Order: sequence, then structure tokens, then C-alpha cells
Amino acid sequence: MADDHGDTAGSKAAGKDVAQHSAPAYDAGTAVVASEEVPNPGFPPYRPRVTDLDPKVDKQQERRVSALFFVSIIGSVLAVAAYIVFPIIPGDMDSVRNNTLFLGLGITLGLLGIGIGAVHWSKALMEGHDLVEQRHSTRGSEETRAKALEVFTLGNKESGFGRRTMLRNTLIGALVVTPLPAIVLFRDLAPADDPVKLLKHTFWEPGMRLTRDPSGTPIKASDLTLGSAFQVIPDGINDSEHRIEEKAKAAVLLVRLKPEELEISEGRENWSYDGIVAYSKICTHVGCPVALYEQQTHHLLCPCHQSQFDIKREAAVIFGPAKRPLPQLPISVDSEGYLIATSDFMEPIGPSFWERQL
Amino acid sequence: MTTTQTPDAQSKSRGQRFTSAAANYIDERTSISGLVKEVGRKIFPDHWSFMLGEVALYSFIVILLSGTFLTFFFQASMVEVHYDGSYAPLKGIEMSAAMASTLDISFDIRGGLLMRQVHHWAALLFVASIGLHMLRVYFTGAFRKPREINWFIGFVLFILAMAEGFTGYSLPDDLLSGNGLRIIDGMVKGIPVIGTWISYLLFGGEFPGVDIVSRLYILHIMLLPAIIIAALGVHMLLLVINKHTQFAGPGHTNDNVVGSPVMPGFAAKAGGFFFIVFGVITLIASTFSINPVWVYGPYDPSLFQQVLNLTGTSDSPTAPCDLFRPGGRPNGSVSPGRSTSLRRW
Ligand code: HEM
Ligand code: FES
Repeated sequence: MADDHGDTAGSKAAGKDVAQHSAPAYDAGTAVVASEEVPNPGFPPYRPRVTDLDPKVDKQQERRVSALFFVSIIGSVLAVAAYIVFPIIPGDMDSVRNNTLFLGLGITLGLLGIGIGAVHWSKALMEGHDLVEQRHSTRGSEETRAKALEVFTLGNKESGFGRRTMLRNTLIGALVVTPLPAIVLFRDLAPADDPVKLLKHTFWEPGMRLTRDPSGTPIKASDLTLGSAFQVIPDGINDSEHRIEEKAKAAVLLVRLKPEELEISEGRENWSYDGIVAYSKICTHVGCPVALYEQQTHHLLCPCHQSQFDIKREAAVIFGPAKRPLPQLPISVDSEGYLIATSDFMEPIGPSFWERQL
Repeated sequence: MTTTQTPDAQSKSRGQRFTSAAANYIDERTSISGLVKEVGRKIFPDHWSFMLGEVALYSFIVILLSGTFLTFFFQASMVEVHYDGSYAPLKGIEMSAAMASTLDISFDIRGGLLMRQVHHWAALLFVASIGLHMLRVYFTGAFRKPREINWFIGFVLFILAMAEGFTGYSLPDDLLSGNGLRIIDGMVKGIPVIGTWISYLLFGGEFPGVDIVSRLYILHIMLLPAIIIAALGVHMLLLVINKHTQFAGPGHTNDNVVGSPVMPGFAAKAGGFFFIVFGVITLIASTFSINPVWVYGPYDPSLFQQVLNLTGTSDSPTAPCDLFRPGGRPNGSVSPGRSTSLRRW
């Protein structure tokens, strides 16, 4: 308000402002109250457009809009033509490209012609004066509200909903219970087995050979040169009934380091073979395949959320959202020199779940 | 010919007579004149930022149209098939019927790739414009009384839009879909107490199972769109009841709305704008490829390739801006997923 600046001119008016100030006309919820409010100057005079003044321009704009609509017609016709002129020739990728491109461009013209034309019509030629409408409070008028209240009161009285409490409460009880069968009905979305048991086991068994993903050929310890990495699946998984489900749990990464580079904890001494170690490929964060191997530092990186695991330290998490190391698969070699698992994983692989004890 | 109607009937052209007869026919059966009188000249204030919500609405309509086209060809099934379509690099590869039909839409149906790309680009524009629209509402304070309920409905719409996006992204059952689903599976399993069971029921057994695509499909094309349409209806109704907010300006007060009336100015502008949004989406979809599933290959739980290629070498065919190759880059550089799945750098 003006008097905040100590303006003494017209102090009477200023005094009035102060008086108003004590009872502000703002909502209690208004966070910032402008202290130097400018009085509303009212509507500015209408500034006529060229089309309002010059009938020639008006005519010219009219022709322009109509030309745009005409372009639209041409575009749509071209689209139909493109559908026929640019067929898809099986195996020819350029024909797919041309079909997509020219059909699309035709439709684009058809649409943009209408769109730009209509908007231009509205802006340049339609009556341009701003109009004013009054707002009314969203709240119903007192009279309406009283009537509505009466409806409820009558409803309550005539039904006895409020008075016959036993009736009402048993009805509410019944309504609450009726959805129960609907919930039960969804039980058979999944088979009867206990998911927890399934999650704790994978396809791996003692003595099962490690094979290449996806060919399924077995791997000799001598196939792995120092620093190399293999993607591994259990022998026979490709022929199993639930190939993808099994692979989603059993996929393994095989890496060879110098044996002295590995920090092996107690109890895991014979889980590796001559510097060859196998770890679950399923990220312990939310289950993506840990697909990137950094050869120099022996770090594994999960591309989903950048968790990193250090192979030298039994796949300990060194970065990212994963909480647990990748489970290790104990391995050895059989009499023919092929790598084999000596057991299943010792803990559930992949992301955490409620029943997992660890 | 001597009734009072005569001069009227004579002065009207045939078109006018037809229009008034039609209007009369409808009104006598619907009393729609009341509605027209109420809303036909409602005032809508004008500001460019008020357009963001419109963009969201129009891209949703584009999604409905393109999505309906896709349903005529898409097969929401995870039955294993050997791909036998015209995309040579994947011939004979085992994949789900969902993935195979997505490839057929892309490579064997005229305009199919265009419609897939329209659908996908419109989906992105939909979510992006909702986000900007929310920012506009937030920073202009338009969420305050009496509009809190509309803010809430808008928020629900935002969540539903993302749910639609996620379920749609999962449908083609390609490598990206599968990895997305795997992440969802991991997140669901992380829910305390019931997580394991929810995941188990959702996937119909162990991940990934053979049910998830058809289950997400019914959510994607029926349940979620129905809820979105209903919520949009309430959103619009409340907008009309509460009237649009406006910026301060000469002549604008708290008690009025200044702008152009629905009929004809606003209707022409908004209707025209729908065609512009549709046209721009089509233009993008016909020149820029998106989600080239044939590059990713079918889902394999131990693969995450072609998506993040830190080496930046030439075998990354996902370049998103194939301006002159809207069919992706289908020449030889595609390996449906083997050799490079384990990257070293
Ligand atoms: C807000 C709503 C929607 C969003 C955000 C959305 C998003 C998506 C996305 C991102 C895809 C993957 C597309 C691809 O690249 O192949 C998709 C696929 C699909 N959508 Fe939608 N969609 C929505 C609504 C609808 C509706 C209403 C329908 C049907 C009436 C529909 C039908 C389909 C079909 C059939 C597919 C599979 C097509 C294919 O894989 O080729 N969508 N959706
Ligand atoms: S799934 Fe590996 S980091 Fe998230």
C-alpha cells in the first residue's frame, strides 16, 4: 500500500488504505500479498487486426485458409497413393522404409493442413473480441444446499437407515464381506507349488557340466585363457521343459584370474578351480543380467542400475544399489577335464524376497 | 402455404432447412439445446501454457486410434514359434508369438511400422505433456481450492499413463520388454511379506512364465484405458464446473473469466490444434524410428545387449535417429543377440 513508503501526499486517502489493511480482502490462504498493488486498469481498447480493417487482406487470408484445407485433401489422397505405390516387398527393408515414410508424410499433410488452417481461421478471421463471463462460487447456494439436505433427511427418515442400526450395520458387514470370493478367485493365477521352494533352487546339480550359452557345448578348464570370460548355462537346460524360467535362475558367468588374485574366504577354498570362478549372472538388486565384464579390474557391471561387483573379492558389491554379492557356484573338473558344478548355489540367486533368510 | 412459417421457410436455404430440421429432431429427443445454451458460449482464457493439458488429451486420442489399429494384428501370446516373416536376420529364431506378430506388424503389414511408431511416439508425448501440464498447474497455483480434486485426478492420470506405458512396453516381448519385466519382478518380490506371492501370481508361476503378456494385454487395452477415459471425463467436468484459471491482466479480476467463447473461436483453435498434434506425431513417426525390437531380438534372461554399449563400437545398431532409415538399420549389422552379449571394455 502506498503509505508504506511514508508518502504524505493525500494522507486522508492513505489513512483509508490503512483502515482497509486491517481487514484484508484476501483469502487466508494467500501466501504473498502484493504491497504495492496496481489498480486494475480495466480492459484495454480492442486493437483491430489487419483483417478487420482491410477487406482485401481479409479475402487473402480466407483464400490462404482454404488453400491449407486443399493441401490437406491432397495429402490424404497422396497417402492412399503411397500405400499402393510403395508396397512392402518381403525381405526388402528399403521398401518398408519407403512405405512408412511416404504413407506417413501423406497423412501428416492431411492432418496439418486441417490443423493449421483451422487455427489460422480462428485467429485471423473469426470475431476477435475477448468476452467476459462472471465466475460463481462452486459452492451451491444456501437454498440449494438446504434442499439437498432435505433430500438426505427424508431418505434417512423414510428408510430408517439411521434409526435401524442393526439393519444398517449388518448391511455394511455384508457389503464388506462380499468381495472376499473375488479375492479367492485369483488364487489360481499361479500353480499350487510354493514359490519360496522354487526360488531357493536352480537347475544346477552336483556333477552337472558347465556349458556355453547358448550352444550348450561343455567347457574344458583349458578352454579358458587368463582373463577370459564365458557365459554359462547348465548342461541339458536347453531341452528342459521350462527352459527360459530355468535359465532365468541358472545363468552363470565364468572367469579365469590368476589364482593368487582371488581373495577366498573360509569354506570356499574348493569352490574354484585353478583361478576359474563361477558367479550367478542374475543381479542381486532386481535381477537384470550382469552383462558387462571389465577385464582389467575384474569388475562386473550391471547395466540396469550400475551395480558393480568385484570378482577378486567374491563378487562383493563395490558400487550401486545391489545389497549382496553375486552368489558363487562351486565348481571343479570331471575326469575328462570338463568343468562341472559340485552343487547347486548355496543361497537363493537374484533379488531379495521376504522369505529369504540371509 | 398461408401459415406464419411460410416466409421463414422460403427465406432459408436448403442447407439451413436441413440443419434446423436435424437440430429439431435431436432436441425433441434429447433436450440438448439446454446443454448447448449452457456450454456453447463458455469462455476459455488464452495462454500458451494452457495448451499443455490439451496436448496430453490429444495425444491420448492419437494413442487410442493407433492402438486400436495395432490390436487387429497383434497376438498377445507367449507361445513359442519359429519366426518366419520377411526380416531375414531373425528367420528361424525361436520367439514368442507376441514378438513374431510385432515383427509382422513392422515388416509385413503396410503402414504397420508407421502405426507402431505413431503409437510409441504418442505415448511418449502423452507422458511428457502430462508432466509439463502438472508443472504449469503447480507453478500457477491452480491446484488450490476449489481445484484440489482435479489436481488429485490429474495425479492419478499421470500414474495411469505410466502404467499404460509400462504394460505397452512389455507387450512385444523383445529383449528390452523382458528386462523391464524382470526389474518389475524384482521390485514386486521386494514388497514386504506378500511380495513373493504377488510376483508368483502375477507371472502365473516362476518368472517369466507364459502368461504375463496376455495378462498385461488386457490391462493395456481394456482396463487401464477405461479407467483413464473415466478419469478424464471427471477431469473435464470439474474443469467446466470450476472454470479455467487465468493470469492477471487488465480487466481480469478474481470474479471473471476473459477469453474466447467455445463456439466458435475456442472450438476452432482447439480442434485445429488436435490435428496439429496428430500431424506432428505422424511426422515424427514417419521419419524417426523408435523401439526397433528386431534389433534387440527376443527375450533371453541372460542377455542385456545392444542397449548399453560403453565401447560405442559399430555393432550398436540402436541409433535412435535413423532419419532416412525409418526401418532401422536392418543391413547385416544385426546379430539377434549372441556374440556381443558379454561385453568387455
Ligand atoms: C495412455 C495410453 C497408452 C500408452 C501410454 C501406450 C503405450 C504403449 C507402448 C509404449 C507400446 C509399445 C509399442 C511398441 O513399440 O511396439 C504399446 C504397445 C501396444 N499398445 Fe499401447 N498404449 C496406450 C494405450 C493403448 C490402447 C488404448 C490400445 C488399444 C486400444 C493399445 C494397444 C496396444 C497394442 C496392441 C500394443 C502392442 C503393439 C506391438 O507390440 O506392436 N495401447 N503401447
Ligand atoms: S538390477 Fe542390477 S543394478 Fe539394478
